[in-house]
Amino acid sequence: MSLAVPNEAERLARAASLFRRRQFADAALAFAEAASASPTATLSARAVLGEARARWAVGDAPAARDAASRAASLDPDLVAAPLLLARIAAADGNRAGVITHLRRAASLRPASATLRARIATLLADLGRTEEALAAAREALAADPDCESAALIVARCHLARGNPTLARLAVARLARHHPDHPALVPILGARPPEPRPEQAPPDTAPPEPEPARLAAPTPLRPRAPSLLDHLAIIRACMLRGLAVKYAGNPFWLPLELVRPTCVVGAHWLLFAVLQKSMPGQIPIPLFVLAGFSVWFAFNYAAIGAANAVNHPAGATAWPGVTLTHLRLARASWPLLVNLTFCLLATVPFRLVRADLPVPNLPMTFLVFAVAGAAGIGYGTLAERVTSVVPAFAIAEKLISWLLFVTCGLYFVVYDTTPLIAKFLLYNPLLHLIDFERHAFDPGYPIAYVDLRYPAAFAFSLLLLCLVAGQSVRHPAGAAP
Amino acid sequence: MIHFRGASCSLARRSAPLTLLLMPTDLDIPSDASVALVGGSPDARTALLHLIAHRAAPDAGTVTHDRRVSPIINDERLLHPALTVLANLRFIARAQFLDERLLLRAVDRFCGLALLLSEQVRSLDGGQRRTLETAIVAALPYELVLLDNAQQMPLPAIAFLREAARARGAGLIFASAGPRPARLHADLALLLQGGRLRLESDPGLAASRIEREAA
Repeated sequence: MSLAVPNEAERLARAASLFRRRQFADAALAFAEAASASPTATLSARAVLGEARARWAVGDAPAARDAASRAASLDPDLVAAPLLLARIAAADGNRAGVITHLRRAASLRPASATLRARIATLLADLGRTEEALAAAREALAADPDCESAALIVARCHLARGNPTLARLAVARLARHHPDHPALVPILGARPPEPRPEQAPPDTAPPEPEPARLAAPTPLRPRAPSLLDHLAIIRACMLRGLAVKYAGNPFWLPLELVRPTCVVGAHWLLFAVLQKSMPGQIPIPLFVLAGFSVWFAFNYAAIGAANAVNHPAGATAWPGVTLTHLRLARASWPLLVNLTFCLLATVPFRLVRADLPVPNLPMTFLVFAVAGAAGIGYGTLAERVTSVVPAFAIAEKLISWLLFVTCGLYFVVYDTTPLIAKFLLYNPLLHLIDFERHAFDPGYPIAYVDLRYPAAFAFSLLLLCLVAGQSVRHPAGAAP
Repeated sequence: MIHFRGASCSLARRSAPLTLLLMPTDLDIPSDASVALVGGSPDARTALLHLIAHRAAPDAGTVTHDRRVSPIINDERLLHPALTVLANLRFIARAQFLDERLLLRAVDRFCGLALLLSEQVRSLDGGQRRTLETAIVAALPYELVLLDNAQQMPLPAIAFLREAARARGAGLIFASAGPRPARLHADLALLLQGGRLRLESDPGLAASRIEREAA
């Protein structure tokens, strides 16, 4: 038994000698004889593989395929067997078979970029783009300089309709092989020589800090139209109502219940007290004008301030900003109180036909200024409170002072000149008196001026813009 | 392309010292590819997505692009929890100037909303909510789709998002703590290591590096 190995080696050497002398038929028989006498699977596999090569050389493809398959099964680590099977499959035109055998060979040679690039090429030819891309990437991982793999990557990206990535792959090829002839046909023209920092850093070792790149091309400005903004505000408004009333069909009457109750209660109170009104304005109109304007201002301020607390995903959508939410939250109470103010005069007119028709332009102007002042006041208060939380107390005090001195319960003309001088600093008093004048032209407006509350509102909005610009939103927080 | 020019970013919290998330970076990132953002802390990845979405400003430098960017899926709340799915879709359709029925149809095709329309969003479980958000974003005509915490998403959802983006020439940038989404669904990888951001052409390699680092 100890002599079996040298004998076997001699048989194999003789068969190999016949193969080298191109006596393939004799070599095939010699290899077969050596295989049958081999004591180990490894030696037997090598002999069978020799037989397969010899059979393939004489053109006996079926016998060669059979022998190569046997060799592969005898020694699964023998990489030459699947390679020969791939060649035989290629001769048969069986590309899928070639890929299968090459994959098996590649699994035995993990470092072979050539094998993987070949697989990638075949897959790309078959239109299996994703698999080709994966195989090409494996090849590049094994050898970053593998030009055929880089070309396949570019081809695959082009096939997927992604020219940017194709250009990146070509840039990579150009970096490693600047004179590669394949560069021209791929993208129609030779790409410019990439600067080192532009090439994708796709190799394992970390690259040095890149130099500054050229300035980007100017960006297309996107300016939404005014109608777009109005549509967004409307969407936010409807969303707020959906949250508040959850599909309740009586949502509109419910919105009017509160101002109706407040105005009704104060009408009764003033009637019981038999309070005298300047210019003989009817008590209902006096109360209605005062509270409507106050509610419009106050709820606009509350809405603008609270919008930031409950965006609930709205501002995550592009184009929807906190300003839209503020305006939506402030606009709805403004609209409700304006509507209530105008609708409420109808029943009064049924009772007293001599009442004058309200001055609509002035009413709209007063409510617009009240709304703007409310939005400005609420937004500014929220911004300042976010920076100085203690300001919340001062804000409550200011709101209370505005309420007490705005002329809901008194008439500035009945006060002393000294008190009137201080009361007239309240812009809401001006607005309320103008609204009463809009309802009844006999109501005096000698002390008040609409330009003052308008300037007040404008100043607040300007301050809001400045405050908004000065606050930087940290990364991870929505603006 | 998304252009980072000297862009840096840090995170300040009251209870913690200032953390540098991104060192000054000059980089051009393709905006029409599927790019995986891997490495770094979850805060850093989220902050980078916020910079790209222009929802936050860098400490220094600029981040510019000309793409219409989607909201960041799986980052913050996209839907109002107190509203039904239908009411949320209505709001989105109105705010994004879309036909409500078309949006409904497109979203329904992906996640089968028929049984969920009248449900409040707060009654959906996390998976349903994420799938719904993904479907809505995929249905809208954004040019760059952003996804955070991709490792929490079902892989088919990422594949769907990628295909939807590719079909209209849009890009997808997804941040992932795990390497698998990057391997399977990325053309390129943005590797964040030690505050440095690099573009890797092989997402598999980048993922392997992150795995080795984690190990």
